[in-house]
Amino acid sequence: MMKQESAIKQKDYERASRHLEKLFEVDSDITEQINRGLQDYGANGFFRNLETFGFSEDVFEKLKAVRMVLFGMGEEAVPDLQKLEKPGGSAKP
Amino acid sequence: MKKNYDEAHASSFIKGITRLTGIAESKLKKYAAENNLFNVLEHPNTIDPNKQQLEKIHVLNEFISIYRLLKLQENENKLVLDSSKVAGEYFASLLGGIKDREKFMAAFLDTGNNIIETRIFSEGSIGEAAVYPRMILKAALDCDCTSILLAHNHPGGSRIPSIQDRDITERLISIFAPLQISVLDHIIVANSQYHSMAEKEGMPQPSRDVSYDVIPLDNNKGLGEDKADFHADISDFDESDLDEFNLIEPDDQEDEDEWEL
Repeated sequence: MMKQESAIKQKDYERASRHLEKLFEVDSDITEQINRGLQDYGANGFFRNLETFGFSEDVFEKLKAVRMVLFGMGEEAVPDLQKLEKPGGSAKP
Repeated sequence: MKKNYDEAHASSFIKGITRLTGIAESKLKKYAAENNLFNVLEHPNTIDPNKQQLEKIHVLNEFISIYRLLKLQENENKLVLDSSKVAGEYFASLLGGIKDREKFMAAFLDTGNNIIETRIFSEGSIGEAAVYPRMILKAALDCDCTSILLAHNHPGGSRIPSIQDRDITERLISIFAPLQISVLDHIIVANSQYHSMAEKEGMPQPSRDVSYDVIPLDNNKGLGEDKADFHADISDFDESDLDEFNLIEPDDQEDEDEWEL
């Protein structure tokens, strides 16, 4: 039962990573890095700890943009809005 | 229009959308001045995005649905669907972002309402999806469940069950009743909102006529959509508008939505 639940969750983490891959237009190694981060930290924990994963600046900015949308929607992904903004930070859409 | 968000949230949302899609901040701010900002995710065409921007919004919507589902799963070691509210939120997170096709799902539960398995039983273009009762029956017997939750989405935006939705529910209840498997609820998801048949109008009684014939899903003509524009925002309706369709009763039974087996 636990195995089944964990497999289902793993599939959902992979789905989430693939959607981010599509959204960011990045390579599959980045998708795998995101997938590992999501599985290790959980969906909410992942976005709270974006700074710790060592993503390239472009991917980091795009992930921050997703975090901003989630925060805007009240998903409580960001503990401190001030941390979101640093001058000049912008991802290419 | 009533807005349930503050400036900090709105500003964060707008900046995030702009960075991810390239839609101009000024366009989003202009839209937000007169509308509920978050409707841009549900109805992106209202801000006239180009094809690429529209595609990005769809992908973002799907990601947000999965993100919510994962959060739900992480918050509960085991996901227990013991009320129409939890079931509604669960299926809204799975089906809420889908606008271009109809999906019919079922969750199979054990005696404690823990999910044994959730499966998709039909997925097709609008008006082309069909449900095969035999497949649901086989899956239910395979996992030895004691109850089932049904769910599907209405891409047209109306949460109101159609007559056909009640027919499908009744047919599946009639198939499972002799096997002592309860069909607890049928959740209908439109945009990110849900409608619980069990909570609102009650589940149909089993009929003596049991049929295993394929059931087409054709919900583009939900009763509500005769009156509502295809792209209309359901949040523009209040409960009294919905009551007019004679299918929804006032929701004054908050404490009574827990299922009893």
